[in-house]
Formats: sequence, C-alpha cells, structure tokens
Amino acid sequence: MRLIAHIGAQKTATTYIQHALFQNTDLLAEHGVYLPTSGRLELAPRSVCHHHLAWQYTDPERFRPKVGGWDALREEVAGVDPETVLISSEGLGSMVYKHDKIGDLLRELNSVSDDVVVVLVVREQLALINSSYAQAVKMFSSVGRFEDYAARAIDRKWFDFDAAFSSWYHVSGLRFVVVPFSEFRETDPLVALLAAADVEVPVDRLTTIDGELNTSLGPVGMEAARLLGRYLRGKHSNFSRREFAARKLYRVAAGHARDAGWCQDKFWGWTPELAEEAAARLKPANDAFAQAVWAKDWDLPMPVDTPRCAEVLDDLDSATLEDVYDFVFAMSARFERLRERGERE
Amino acid sequence: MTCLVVHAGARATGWSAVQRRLVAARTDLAAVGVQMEPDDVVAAWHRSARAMQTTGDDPEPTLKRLMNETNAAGRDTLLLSSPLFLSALSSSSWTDRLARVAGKLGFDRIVVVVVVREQIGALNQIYCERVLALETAAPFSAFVGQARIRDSVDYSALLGPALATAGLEVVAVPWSQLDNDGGAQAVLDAAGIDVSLTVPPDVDSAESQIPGQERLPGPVHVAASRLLVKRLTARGGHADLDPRTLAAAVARVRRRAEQRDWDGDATYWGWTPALAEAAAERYAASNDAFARAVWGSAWTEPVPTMPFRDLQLLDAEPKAIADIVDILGRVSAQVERVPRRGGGARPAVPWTGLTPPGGRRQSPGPRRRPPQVGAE
Repeated sequence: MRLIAHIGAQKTATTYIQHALFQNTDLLAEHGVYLPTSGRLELAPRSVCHHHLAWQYTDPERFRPKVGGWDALREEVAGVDPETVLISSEGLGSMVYKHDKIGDLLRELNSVSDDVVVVLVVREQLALINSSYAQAVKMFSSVGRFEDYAARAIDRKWFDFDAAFSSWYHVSGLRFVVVPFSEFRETDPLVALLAAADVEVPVDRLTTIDGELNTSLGPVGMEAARLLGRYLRGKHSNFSRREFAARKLYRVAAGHARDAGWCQDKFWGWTPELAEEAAARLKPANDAFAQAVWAKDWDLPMPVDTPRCAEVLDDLDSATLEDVYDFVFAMSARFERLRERGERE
Repeated sequence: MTCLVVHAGARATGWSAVQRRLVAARTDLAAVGVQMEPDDVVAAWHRSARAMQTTGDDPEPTLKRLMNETNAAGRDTLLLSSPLFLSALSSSSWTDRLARVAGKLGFDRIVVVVVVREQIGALNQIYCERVLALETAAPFSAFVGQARIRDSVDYSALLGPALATAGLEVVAVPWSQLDNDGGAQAVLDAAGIDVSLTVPPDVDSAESQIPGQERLPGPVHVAASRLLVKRLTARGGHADLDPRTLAAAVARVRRRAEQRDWDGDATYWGWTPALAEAAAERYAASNDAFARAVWGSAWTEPVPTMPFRDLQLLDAEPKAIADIVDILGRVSAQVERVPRRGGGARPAVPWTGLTPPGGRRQSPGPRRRPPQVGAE
C-alpha cells in the first residue's frame, strides 16, 4: 500500500484541492485511491483535510481524539487495505515549518506505510508571505503591520524550505516530490497533484470546482479585519483567535467583506524595496533547496517589482470608514452572540 | 502722551494665556494708566478687533470710541489684544489706515506687539489644536503643506506691511523667552508699559501656562480625533453643528483620553526629521530677514527636535482601539440627537448597510446604531 501525503504548503490552493478531493471521492476510489475519514476536520464536512493528524502534535487543544488521530488512521487503513491512501493537510507541512516536528511526522507516515510519497507544493516566498499574512489577518491571528510580519517570517525562517526540509532529501522509503505552485496555476490543482504523485485518473472525468473557496481580502478588507481583530482583543481581554466564536466569526466576517466589495482588489503588502531585500536574503536557501529537489538553481520568479497595494485605515475616505465601523460593530455583536451560543452548547 | 498698544498674538504662542493674565491684572494695569476692553470674555476682545477690520475696513469708528473711553477713564494707554489683528497687519492698506487714524485721534505712539515662535514647534502645536477641535482630519504632512497654514507663521510675510508702515513700531517677543506665568509680563515689557504683575491668588497657574509649554496631546488622542472628524463628515458634516455640541464632543474625547490614559507620557510630534529639516530651511531666510528688521540680529530661536510620534489607529493598543471605536460611535450618536443649525435635523447617511462597489448602499432598512458597549 502506498501512502500519499499532501502536506501543503499553506496558501498553495490546498482548500481547492481538499474540496476537489471530496467531490471526486468515488472516482478516486474507482482507481484505487482511498481518502481516509480519520483525522478529517469536522468543521469542513465537504472537504478532505486531515488537520487533526497535524494537531495531534502541534495543537493538542484543537485535536479531538473522537475525530481520530494517527492510531485511528492506521486502524482504518488496515481495515480497508487499499492500493493507495491519500491524506491532505497543510498542517502537516506546518509541523515541519514551524513546529520542528519532522521526526514525529516521518515516524507516523512510516508507521502507516513503508512506501510514502510526500507531495509539497512550493510557492515563491514573497507571494507566500503576503498570502499567509492576509490569511492570518482574516483569521484574527495577526493584527500587526505587514512589514513586521514579513520581517518576522524571514528572520525566523518560516518559509525557508531548505532549513525545513533538508533532512527529507534522502530518506529511504520516502519519495519527496516538490511541485512549483506555478504548475497549479497552469492546470487544475488536483490534476497537478495527482500527476506529481503518479496517480492515474482520467482527467476528463474529474469534477472541478468553480468559484473562489477561500476569499482573499483586498486592501480595505485587510484594514477592516485588522481593526476588528484589535477591537475584539481590546474589548474582550480573554479573546482568543482559537475560541469557537472567533473561528466561526472569521468565516462570517470574510463573507461580509466579500459582500462589501472588499475582496475585489488584491492586497500586496510588499514595497519593491522591501521585496528586493527579502528576495536577496532568501536566495541562498532557495538555491540550495532547488538544487536538492530539482537539481537546478531556484527559478521561480520573485515578483519584486509589484507595486504595493495596501490601504491605511486612517487614510480611508469618510464613507468607506463608516462602512468599516459598521462592519466592526456588526461583527462584534455577532461575536458576542456566537460566544453565548458556544457557552450554551 | 497717549499710546496705542496692539497685541496680535501670533499663532500658537499662547495668546489666550496672555489675555487671561491681563484680565486678572486689570487693577494693576489701570493703576499705571492702561485701558483695556472692559468685558473680560475673549469674544469681547475679538469683537473690537473685528470691528476695526470690518466697518468698511476702517478702524476709525471703533478706535474713536475706545479712545474716548480711555480719555474718560483718565488713562493714557489703550491696550488692544486679539490674534485677529494678525491678518489685518499683513495688509499694507490697513496698516496705513491704522497709522493715519491713530495719529488723527491723538495717539502719539502706536506699538504692535507680537510673540514669535520657531515654526516647527508652532505648526505641531497648531495641528494638534486644529485636530482636537475637530477642524481637520488631514494627515500632518498634508496639513503643514497647505499654503495658508505655512504662511500663517511666516512672520516676515505677515508683518512686512506693518514693519514698512511709518508710525507703527513693531516689537517682537521671542516665544522661548516668555515666562511661565502666562507671558503677559513679557508682552507688557515689550510694549514699554512699566508695571510689575503680581500673581493674584485666584489665577490658576496651570491655566495661565503658555500653550506649547503645556503637555501636548498624545498621538492616540490625535489619531482618534482625526477619525472622529471623518466620522462626523461622513454622517452629514459638522460645519452646521451647534458649537456647544461640537465642544461637548471634543471634551468627551479628551476626557476619555485622559481617563483611559491612551497615550501614557507620549506627546504628539508630527515632524519626521526630513520634513522638519525641509520646513526649517524654507523659513530660514524669512526668519532672518524678520529678526534683522525687529531685533537687528539673526534669528536664534531654537528648533526643537523630538522623536516622530504620529500613529495610525491600528498601531494603538487594542484597549485604546476598542475605546476609540466605541467613543466614535457614542459621540456621533450624541451629535445626531442634537438638531442642526438651519433646521437640518439629521444627517442623510443611514447607519446600516455596507456600500457595495457600485456605490448605492444595500437595503438601507431601519436606522441601526452601534451596539451599546460598557458604561463610559
């Protein structure tokens, strides 16, 4: 039995892939690919994302044993005995990036199968950091400035692929496949993923998904979300982005932002100068990583010349500011109701 | 000998403090023959200044009345004080008329007293005052870039006509040399009025402090006030608001800033070093020309250097942000409840609905207010 572990990385169309996997469960099963139910995120029932497998190690508070971790996965797979098992969670990639849990992940993967294919999709870091920041703001986990976030990300090597994955370059029983994100843009991401993992499925029978699943906030939406995040922290001293109400609210808030037209433009926090500096700092590690996995220097283009596209809350015109306040007041009231509901439940 | 003293400010140099001190020293001044506006309130002091500029731009009727009152009281010095004189003094036709009329009425000496301050600190002070008075939401750099703001502290341009008018004696007091007792003594000394002011027990020394030597507001307070201006603007503008309503709004924000200690010890400073340097350079030649004309020496007023302290709302602490957003909601709701001057009872902008890209609000529906949050 072969185990394919799609480990992200974050912000590389993982949400799309996980929804597409769900939509194509039967077709994949016809071709011997089994999508385990253990460890799946219960909050996204129409998606195949095995976040609990990662949270078992990185976030014990969020891990729900009832949903199942690695033990349950092993048991489930043993009961089915499929040709190929496919799991998907960007959280597994984060185990390596941010939590230094590479040893745990390797051990668990090998305990499921001795034929493991790890698929990692990599994206040049300027877009990756920009996108991660936008996601962090949307989920209230970051309320600071982009510049500070970007500096921290680079200083702490959050997106240094070589530092994170160098120990995976040569592991017996594990094939480490790295796919540039640009390939996901040229074709359907699920098709690209399956091709990278050597899974043969008739492409014309795959169901694709229309529309954006994970709304990105535009410049105004980013400021509104930052204000909401800071407002909630200031108003509720015990606010936690991990609490039930906050996790529900971020989806509601993103919907409101989309309705307000705040998701039409694309946020871009880098100034060309800052981007140039970051790209220079990232180059040695990127070259080392690319040499190891592709046997060539890093050639994913860094969009250093993209002009900054961001707003400053205080500089918004009066009417837009009013909309932002309305949004904050409405979302704050919603948050309080969600909290009450969470407490009742 | 009869003397006319016109004390004209200037901007951000503590005119109000001087006026309060002069009022408090009314008896001392009367004893040495100084006649002032009999009413203590600031508006009355401005009224005379305004009348001297607006009655066909002719100072004669007002000045004649004041001269008669001075004579009737048996005094020999008429002291007029209002920053409104400053703009009049920048017009050569007005300074000419003032000199001619004052001479005709029998004033032997006409002294114009101004307090001058280096422009970097003055503009920072003016900006704080204007923002806290909810008069502007402009960013600092845009505010100080406006020609009329820039020119309002260009003493050479402002007082050039007065300096060039025969019969007018222009005396400038450096702001850095004002005493901590309100600056009135320095103004009187400069005008040649021989009096030593005693501090009456009912004068609060904090009140009579010179603005700019008091603590400036902090950057969070300034940012909050800017946002309140924007909020009021969006909700129908505040130009037609009753001044008392506006004053109450200003006071409410100030009170909250103090109560919740939004800023700690930090004071607002809008100049970046580069912006300050460019501005100082722009004023250098003009200041020197002015100083040589009034003091016979180069301009030596020290330029303050402070760390840049202007922030955006989102840089403030979450607690302050929650406070500010809540108080913006409360103040604008309070303002809305008060009928507007001219019959406009309410702003047209409804509370509800986010503006979609096309511009029209979605289903305005009934008016919605922000949720009531905590007691103030």
